[in-house]
Amino acid sequence: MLTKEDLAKYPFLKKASEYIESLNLSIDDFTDKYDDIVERALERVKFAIDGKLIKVDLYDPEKEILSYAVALALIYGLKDAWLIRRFANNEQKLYYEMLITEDNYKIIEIAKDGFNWDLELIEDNFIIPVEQFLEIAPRFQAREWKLINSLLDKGKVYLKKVKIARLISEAVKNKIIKKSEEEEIKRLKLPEKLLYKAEVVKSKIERKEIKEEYKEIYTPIKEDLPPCISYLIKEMKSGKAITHMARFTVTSFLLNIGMSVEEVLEYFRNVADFNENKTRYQIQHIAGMIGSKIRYLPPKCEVLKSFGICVEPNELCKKIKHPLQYYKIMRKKKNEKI
Amino acid sequence: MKKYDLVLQEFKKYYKHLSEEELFIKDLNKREIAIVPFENDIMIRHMSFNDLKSLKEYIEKNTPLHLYYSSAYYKEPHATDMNVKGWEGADLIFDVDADHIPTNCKVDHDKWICRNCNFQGIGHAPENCPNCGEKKIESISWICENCLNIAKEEVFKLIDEYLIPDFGVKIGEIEICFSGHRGYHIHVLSENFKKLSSDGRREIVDYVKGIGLEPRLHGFKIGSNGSIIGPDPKDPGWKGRIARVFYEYINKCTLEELEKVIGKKAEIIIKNREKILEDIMSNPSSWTRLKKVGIGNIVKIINIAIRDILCNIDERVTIDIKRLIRYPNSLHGKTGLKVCRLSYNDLEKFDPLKDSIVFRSGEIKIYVKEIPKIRIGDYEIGPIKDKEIEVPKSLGIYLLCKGVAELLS
Repeated sequence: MLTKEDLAKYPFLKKASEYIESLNLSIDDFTDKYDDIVERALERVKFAIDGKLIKVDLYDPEKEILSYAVALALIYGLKDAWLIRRFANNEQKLYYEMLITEDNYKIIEIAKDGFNWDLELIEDNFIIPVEQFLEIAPRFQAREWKLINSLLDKGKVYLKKVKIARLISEAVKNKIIKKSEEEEIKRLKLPEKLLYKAEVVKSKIERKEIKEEYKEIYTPIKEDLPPCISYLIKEMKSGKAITHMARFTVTSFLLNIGMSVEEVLEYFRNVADFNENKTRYQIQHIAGMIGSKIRYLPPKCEVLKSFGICVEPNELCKKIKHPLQYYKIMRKKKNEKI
Repeated sequence: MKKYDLVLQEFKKYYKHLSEEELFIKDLNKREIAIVPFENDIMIRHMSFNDLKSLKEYIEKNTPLHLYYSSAYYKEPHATDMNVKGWEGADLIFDVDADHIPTNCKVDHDKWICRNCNFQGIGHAPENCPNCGEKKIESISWICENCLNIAKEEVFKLIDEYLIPDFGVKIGEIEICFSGHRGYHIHVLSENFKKLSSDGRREIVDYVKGIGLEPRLHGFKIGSNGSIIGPDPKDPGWKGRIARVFYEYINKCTLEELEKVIGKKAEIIIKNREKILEDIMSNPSSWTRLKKVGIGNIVKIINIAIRDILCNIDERVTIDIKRLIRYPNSLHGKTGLKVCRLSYNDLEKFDPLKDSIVFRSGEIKIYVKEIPKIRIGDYEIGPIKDKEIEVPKSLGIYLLCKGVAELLS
């Protein structure tokens, strides 16, 4: 049985949304009433942007359930793709942490109610129908998540608890992002008062946090990068859509200096027309993981010049023929100094 | 008579006599139907039919050279805009095609030519031209008994070794179609897989093709005393498969073969072969004797040993969730042979070069430009070049469809 406390912990569950629906409230009702819930919702948004995990207050489950719904409305209402992703990522982490300590039977109920997955328990393994596993697992890049490296028997995949927790929490993240692409959500308009409150929270932290976001991922030292690549990264960070050739150049460059597909993907998150699956697919392609199985090199300087990608060339640029040469020379210099 | 007149006439007759039941497919009204007409090579897409009767009427009036339906189910299958079309799911399909299997007999019957530099060769067509490196290879391939037998073995492998035991597919959910040319399509009609995304289907492709396999993730561990713990041949899925292929490889290989894979350590295995095999098969399975060989070398052996158990399928067909695929019981426009629908139990005794023939009576006179040795039904012919001959109608139509013969009045 899922209790009200469970719904407070996992407010993405269908039972939680059913409860909210039964109250027959609309977002406009929160303009002048329910201040404590709005406060809590703003707190959730703030925590998400900060990359911190909130502590669920089990003494007031109703407030938790409602504030989650309001937080989602605020996030969607701000219409900021970066923010939505950031929020979704943080929710994923939150539920993962809670699920790994959850009772096994409870996990089975959560998976059923949340995603209609039919989990069963065999000794210390969870089993899940392969088609349900494949709804989410292809999103992970690690080899241990490939179907071929999982135990599959008679249509069921065997997973340990930590992996089931990862799968469920990733499904929540996926659901939050997918929902933002629905027409109804795109049309959502927050009451002015709420929008203002949300904007305030956002503006206070956003600038600082974008910096931190980049700290989290592997960042090559900026001065080691040739000016063309630095310029493109700057453009992408500021959310501009860049040309196909420019994308190819940045991607192949970053892959060739040793970044992973997921790390390169992070650079594209701010780009206006960002589509996670499509971009990942393209990066994998350039990395030679799929398709032709050729790992592409970035184009030569000569080619970059003709495409107008070569900008602000410096002294070193004059001595080289290929952007990767630039990086190698810079790294070598640094190592010599050390 | 024009080249296609006889073929058109015969195709028309065939479709006239085809019953509505033979045109049955699951949820016809949700499928996109497409044809390539005789007049030109331009495909007419985005058609839909509410019932078998209207489809039958249409193809009787507009004889198709090729007839296709979508593996996908759509809300509005006739819509051209994919957003309006409304994808609701798709059958899980595997394509086993002799074109993708490098068989030994291809040097006897297949040729290829590079459309860029005109470089030519015989046998299995390369992906890139060995002369100019371009990808404009055009192959001239023939159906052949040996190729089709090998394709059939691949179908059995896919179903018996993977779909049934690992994926839990039931025999009744599997429909096999002989493509009317060089291979088979395997349709899994289970509701379970219908909604799978392209990424999900790619994982299934990788699973049956052995792509991305990491044997170390299947139960290899170093025990506390430094011994090796490994999978049991009785384990399900790839775990057991790895143990079984390792066993079989070691059972058969020579010292020289094994040395090529793992170098000097091969000697340890060959010397203790009997005992190693006995250990792996014992209950519980033991890999202890391989301690000095090391997990790294075991993995190397496995990566060589799995080659024969991987499925040779065309991954593009499985991954594409909006694929157009040949309609069962339609005629293949390049051969005049029937796209035969088979159950799993029919497959063993199915002879594609006999059972897919529809034009059974009469003979026709044709002029043959050049063909290798081929068989259609019980009739074998070739190789011949620049010759006028009288042949059974089925063979004649096959050669006319292939474009290597001309009809003589």
